[in-house]
Amino acid sequence: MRDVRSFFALMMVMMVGAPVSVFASSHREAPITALDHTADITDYYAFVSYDDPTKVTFIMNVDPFLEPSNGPNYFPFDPSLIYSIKIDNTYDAVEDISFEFRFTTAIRAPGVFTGFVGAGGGINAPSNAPLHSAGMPVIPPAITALDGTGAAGLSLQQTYTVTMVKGSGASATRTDMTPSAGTKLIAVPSNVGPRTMPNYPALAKQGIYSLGNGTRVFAGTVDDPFYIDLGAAFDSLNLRGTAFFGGNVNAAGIPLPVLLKTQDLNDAQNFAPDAVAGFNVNTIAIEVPISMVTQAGKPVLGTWATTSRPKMTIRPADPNATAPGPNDFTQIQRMGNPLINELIIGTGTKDKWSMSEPKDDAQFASFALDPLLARALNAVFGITVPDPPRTDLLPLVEYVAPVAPAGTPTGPIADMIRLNTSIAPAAMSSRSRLGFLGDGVGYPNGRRVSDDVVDISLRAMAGILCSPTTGAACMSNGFPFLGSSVPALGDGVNANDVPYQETFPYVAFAHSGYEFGHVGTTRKNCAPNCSIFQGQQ
Amino acid sequence: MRTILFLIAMLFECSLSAQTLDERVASARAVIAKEPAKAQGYNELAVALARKCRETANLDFCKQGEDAVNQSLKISPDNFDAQHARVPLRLLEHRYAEALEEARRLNKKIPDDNPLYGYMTDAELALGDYPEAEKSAQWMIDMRQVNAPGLQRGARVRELIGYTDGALEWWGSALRLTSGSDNEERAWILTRMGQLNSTIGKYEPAEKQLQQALEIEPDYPYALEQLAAVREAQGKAAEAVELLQRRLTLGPDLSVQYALAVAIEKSGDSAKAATAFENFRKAAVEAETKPENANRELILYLADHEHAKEAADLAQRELARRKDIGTLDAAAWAMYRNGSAAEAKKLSDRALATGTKDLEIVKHGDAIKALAADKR
Repeated sequence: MRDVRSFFALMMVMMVGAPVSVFASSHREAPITALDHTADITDYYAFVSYDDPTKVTFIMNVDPFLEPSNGPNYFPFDPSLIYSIKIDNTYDAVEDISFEFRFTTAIRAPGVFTGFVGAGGGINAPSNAPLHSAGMPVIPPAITALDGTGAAGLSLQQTYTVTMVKGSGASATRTDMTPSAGTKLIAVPSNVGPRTMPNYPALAKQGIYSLGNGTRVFAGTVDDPFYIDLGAAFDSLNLRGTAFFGGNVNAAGIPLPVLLKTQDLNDAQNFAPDAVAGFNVNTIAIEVPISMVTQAGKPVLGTWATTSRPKMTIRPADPNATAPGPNDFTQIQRMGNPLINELIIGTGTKDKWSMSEPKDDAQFASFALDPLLARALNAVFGITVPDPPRTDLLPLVEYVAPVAPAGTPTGPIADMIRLNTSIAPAAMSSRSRLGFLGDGVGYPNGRRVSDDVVDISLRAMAGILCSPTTGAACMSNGFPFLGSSVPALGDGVNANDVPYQETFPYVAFAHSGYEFGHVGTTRKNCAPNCSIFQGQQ
Repeated sequence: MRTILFLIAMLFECSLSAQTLDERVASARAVIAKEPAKAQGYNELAVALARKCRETANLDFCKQGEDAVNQSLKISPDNFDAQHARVPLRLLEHRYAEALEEARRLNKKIPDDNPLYGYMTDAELALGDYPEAEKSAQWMIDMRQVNAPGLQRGARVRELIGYTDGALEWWGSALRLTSGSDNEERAWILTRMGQLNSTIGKYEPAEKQLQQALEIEPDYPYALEQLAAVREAQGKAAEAVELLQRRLTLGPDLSVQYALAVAIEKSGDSAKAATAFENFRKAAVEAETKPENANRELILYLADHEHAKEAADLAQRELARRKDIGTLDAAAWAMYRNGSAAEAKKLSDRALATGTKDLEIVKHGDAIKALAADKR
C-alpha cells in the first residue's frame, strides 16, 4: 500500500499566523471566479435519485447570490462557457464520461426594454394612447410557455445542447444528446413575478426534458438549495454559540458552536439566519441510468463539475479558425467536495487549484490533510482536534470506506464526490441533514441537496470520522482520539428556506422577484430564541 | 543586428500610476525616510529602480535595486515582496538561471502570483527552455486573459515559433491594455513590435513603430538600437551609426558596441570599423563570464573575422550556459565558419525547429544547409 505519509512530510504548519478563512459553500471563493461569476460553481451534488434507485442525478449550480428581482435581463447562462459534469468510473480520477452543456442566447424582441414581459392575455394601447397607436399591442400575454404559444414575452430565450463525452483529452468521443428534431432544450428563466409569469411552477416544469434512454435534463434559475449562516462564518468563525444554542462557553468565555441535542435532531428549524435564503442560483441538472455511468459490478463513481472558457492559445491549432475546438478551452473552476477550495486551499493557491485536474491533486494534499479549519476550530474554540496528517479525512479524497466497499482501488488523492450507487436512497421521512453521519446514505457518500455540509464538515474537521474500527485511528497530542468525542458542532442553520422537490430536478424552483426580499426570508424558520433578529422581520 | 533587446526579456506588470519613474523612485525614498525600519519602502524602491534600470539600460539602477532588496531582507528576512522584486532585477542583470530559480521557488510558495509566471517565461526564454516558457506564458494567460504582461509573454513565444501575425496581434492588444500614462511600457511594447517587424523584413511598419516609441520616450535606448537596425537594413548605414552613437551616450553596452562596429563597417569606413571591432573584442572577451557579456555577438564577430576556431570554442562554452535560439544560431554559425558542417547543421536545425521567421537565422540556416549538402 502506498505510504501516504510521504505526501504530508513536505507540508505542515504554514497555517500559523494565517487568517481564518471560512466557508460559503463555494460562492466567489477563488480570485479568478470572484471576477467571473457566471463561471463560478457554487455547489455540486450527486446522488441516487430519491424516486428511482436505478438512476443517478448530478446537479451543478453556478453564479451565486442571484437576487430574484434583479432585472431586466436576470440571469442567463454564459454562452461562451462549457459547463461540464465529469465522472470517473475507473478509479484513476480521470473522467471516463462527461456531460457538456452549452448555451445560446436569442433576443427575440430586441426593441423591448426587458428580457421577460407579459400580462394576462396581453395589453393593447388604450384609446388615449399617443397618436395612431390606440389598439396596438403593447404588452404581450403573460408567459405561460417556454416556446410557442404563451412564450411571446420570453424575449431573452436561452437554448442549450447536451453532449456526452466518452474518454478524455484529444481522443475523447462526443455524442450529441440533444433531441434532433422539433424539441429545443430551453433554459428556464428566473421567476420574474406573478403578472409576467402567473403560474411559474407550471412554466418551470416545462424545462424538464427527456433525452431518451432514461435521461432527463433541466437547466435554469432555481432557489439556491444551500443554507448557511454566512455572516457568522465569515466573521472569523464567529458562530452564534450561546446567542442561539444556549450552549456552553469555553474557558475563555467564548460561546461554543455546539447544538443542543433537540436542535441537532431538528432538521426543519433554523437557530441562526440562513444567509442564502431568498437567493436564486443557476442550475444544470441531469438524471441518467446508473448503468450509463458505472461499470458492471463497480457501483462506486467519482464525480466533479467544471466550467471552461475559450482559451487564448499561444499556439492555436488553426490560427484562422472562427470558433474554438473542443480542446481550445481553459478550465476556470472545478468542484467536487463542498467547501474544499474555501476551507482547505490557501488563498495563494486557489486559482491553481481551480485550474488543475483532480488526478493532480496530490500536490494539494498538504492542504487537505492538515486543514486550516481544524486548526481554527482548535484555536478559536479550544476544541480538541486530531493531529495531522489527517488520514481520517481520506474518505473525502480517496475511494475508501465507508463510501467505497473493500476491494475498490483507492485511486490517487483527488477531490471528487464519491458516490456508491448501490446504497439505496433514504425515504424523505428518514432522510437526515447530517448525511452519512445521520442516515448512512448522504454526504460524503455523494451529496444530496438537503445535506447540511456545513455541520458535517465542521464535525469532520473536528475528527468525527476518527475510529480505530471503521475509519482511521487518530491521535491528539499523543493520546488516542475518538470521533465519538466530537461535539454536535453546527452553524445553527439546519434547513433550507423553502422545501426541496422530491422528484427531478429536486431543487425548488426560483423565488419570485416580485414577492421576495431577504430580511424576512433570511430569518425564516428561525427559532424564537433568534431574538436579536426578531425586530428585523 | 542583435542587441540587448534580444537578451533583456524583462517585462513588467503594467503600472496604472500616473507617476513618472523618477517620481516613483522619489516617492519610495520618501517612504524609507519616514519609516526606515520597515521593509515596505525598500521594496517599493527596488521595484521602481528595476523599471528605471530598464528604461535607461543603465545597470547601476539595478545594482541600487539589489541594495534596496538587501536592506529590505535585513529588516524582514523572509519577506515575499523583496524576494519578488529581486527577480526582475536579476533578469535585467542577465542572471537568468538565478532569476529562474528564485521565481520557481516563490511560485511554489504562492502559485497564484501571476507576474511570477511572466518572470519564469522571461528566464526560460533567455535560457532556451522553450517548452517550459510556453507553459508558463500559457498558464499566465489562462489565469488572466485580459492581462497585458501575459499577452506580452505570449507574443514573445509566438514570435519565437514563427507565428508573427499572432505575435503582433498580442503586442497590439497589450499596448491597448497599457495605461496611457505609462510611457516607458508603451515605448517598450512599440519597440518590441518594431523589432519583430524588422526581423521579418517589414521595415516600413517597424520604422513607424520605433518612431512612435521615440516620440513617447525620446532617448529610449532600445528604440534607438532597433531603429539603427532598420536603417542598416534599408542601406542607410551612416544613419545607423549616428543612432547607435547616440544610444551609447546614454550608457555602455557591449552588444550595442558590436552593432556600431558592424554599422561602421557597412558605412564603408574599414579602418574605423576595425578599431571599433577590436575595442569590442577586447571588452567582450573580458566580460565573457560576467552576466552582462556579449558572447553571442563575440561569437559572430570572431566567426566572421577569421577567428573561427576561437568562435567555436566560445560557442561550446556558451552553449553550456544557455541554449536559446540566439546562442544556437551563433554557435551554428561559428561551427559553419570553422568547417564543422554536421555540427553546424545540427545546431542550426535546432534553432530553426522553433519555427522562427527571423531573417538572419534563416539566412544562416540556408548557408549551413548548403555547406552540409556539399560535404555529403
